[in-house]
Amino acid sequence: MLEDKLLVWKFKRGSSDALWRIYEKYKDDLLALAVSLSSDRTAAEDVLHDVFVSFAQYAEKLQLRTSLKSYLSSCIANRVRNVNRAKLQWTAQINQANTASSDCDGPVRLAISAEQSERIEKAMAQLPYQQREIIILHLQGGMRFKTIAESQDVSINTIQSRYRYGLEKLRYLLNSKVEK
Amino acid sequence: MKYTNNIERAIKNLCFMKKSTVKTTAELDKRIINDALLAQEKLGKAQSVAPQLSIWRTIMKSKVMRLAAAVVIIAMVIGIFQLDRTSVAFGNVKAAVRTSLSRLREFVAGMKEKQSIPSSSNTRTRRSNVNRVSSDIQYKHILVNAHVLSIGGEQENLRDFFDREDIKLAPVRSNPNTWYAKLDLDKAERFTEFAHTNDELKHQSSPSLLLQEGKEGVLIVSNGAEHVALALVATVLEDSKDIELSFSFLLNYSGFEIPSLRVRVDEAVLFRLVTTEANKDRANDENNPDRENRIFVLIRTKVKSPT
Repeated sequence: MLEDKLLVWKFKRGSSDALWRIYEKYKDDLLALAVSLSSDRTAAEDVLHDVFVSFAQYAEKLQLRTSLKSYLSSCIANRVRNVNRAKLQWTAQINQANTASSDCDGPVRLAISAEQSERIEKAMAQLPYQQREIIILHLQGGMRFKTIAESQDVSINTIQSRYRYGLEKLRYLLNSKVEK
Repeated sequence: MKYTNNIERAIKNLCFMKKSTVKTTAELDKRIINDALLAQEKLGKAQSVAPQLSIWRTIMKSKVMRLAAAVVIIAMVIGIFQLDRTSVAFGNVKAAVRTSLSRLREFVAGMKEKQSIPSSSNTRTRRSNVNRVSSDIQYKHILVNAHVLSIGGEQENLRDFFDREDIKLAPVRSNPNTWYAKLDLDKAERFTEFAHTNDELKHQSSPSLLLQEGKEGVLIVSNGAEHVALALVATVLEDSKDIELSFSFLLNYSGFEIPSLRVRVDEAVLFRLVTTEANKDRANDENNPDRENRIFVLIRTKVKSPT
């Protein structure tokens, strides 16, 4: 935490070393988050690229209210949302998601049950994006509901409701498949 | 398998496995870092062109500030009309305003000069330090360690110690709340001994850091009460008798820089930093509104030849 504060402080004063260290520290976590949110490795790489370029561009105006990791995670989520909004083809992406994730996440299926992993991913893809985003930010990004609420400018109750509804729907989708 | 309560765990597992398998490639790293550094460089140039815009933006961002700015403008207009009635008074005020404006202009020019140095200046200082070490010379290594000691309010024993050892602190130009003194190694040793024997002082040493000259190292020390992070670059000067140090301090939530300080190889540097802590019982204690904490940071360096 203190290290992050020092890095941000130096970064705001134009230190390229600090920028490089921040990137090295969080790149893998952020890429994984972007892959989970966008379900597309190529799009996720572009998102990571755009986020870091904007981060460098607006260094002077950077004002952190949360941790650096939460801030960057919110940036990733916002950027993915913008990309998705531009595409406006979420339903078509569900199919893409399945094929794309099978390209990049082979070892995942080896590590945990391939069937279970696929089932969860498919069910996740069927959730409305807002619910899916909160589940991923909370469970993968480790962000608190309060931080997510602040970054999306909505109340914490809305965030908690979306999370709860998301989990309920996921549970319903997964159990109905099991029963079939 | 029924998904009831373990749904969160299942997603967490999936995410964890994803995290461990999704990695950036070297090519992607290169692309992102190059573009981000380019953007950062452009920002540095743009900053020196239009620093005054940010002040206006700051005012316009907040409703209160906007209102305050409007009130000030209206008050000024009313004031000028009022003054216009009495020509002698108005003449005096005009002269005073002209003098203030010229002073303000000088001040702004000075600020602009400072702002044009900023982000790059520190880096530039550091780069020039690095450049001083030519490529055919072997880099020396410097062993650095920091000792942090903090006291709340006055401490008679410490003052006596400073008098006894004839330690005189000089102000640091770049930060008004910081003083420093160069100590010979014996004095530095006695200072740490004093800290160890005095129970009222909270103190903590950092582990030693082996630093290559011209490269930046970070030391983080916390004595329980205060957290000090310190980034420093050290360069051994050509005669090998002096070391040039440049510091970036982060003390709790605020930071400052000391661009260049030259010390002998057999000297340590003692910094005194002052932080103020808001008095929670201000209503009951009007005579003592805020509490001042003094933090001492002793930096010791030792030059090591490359092995």
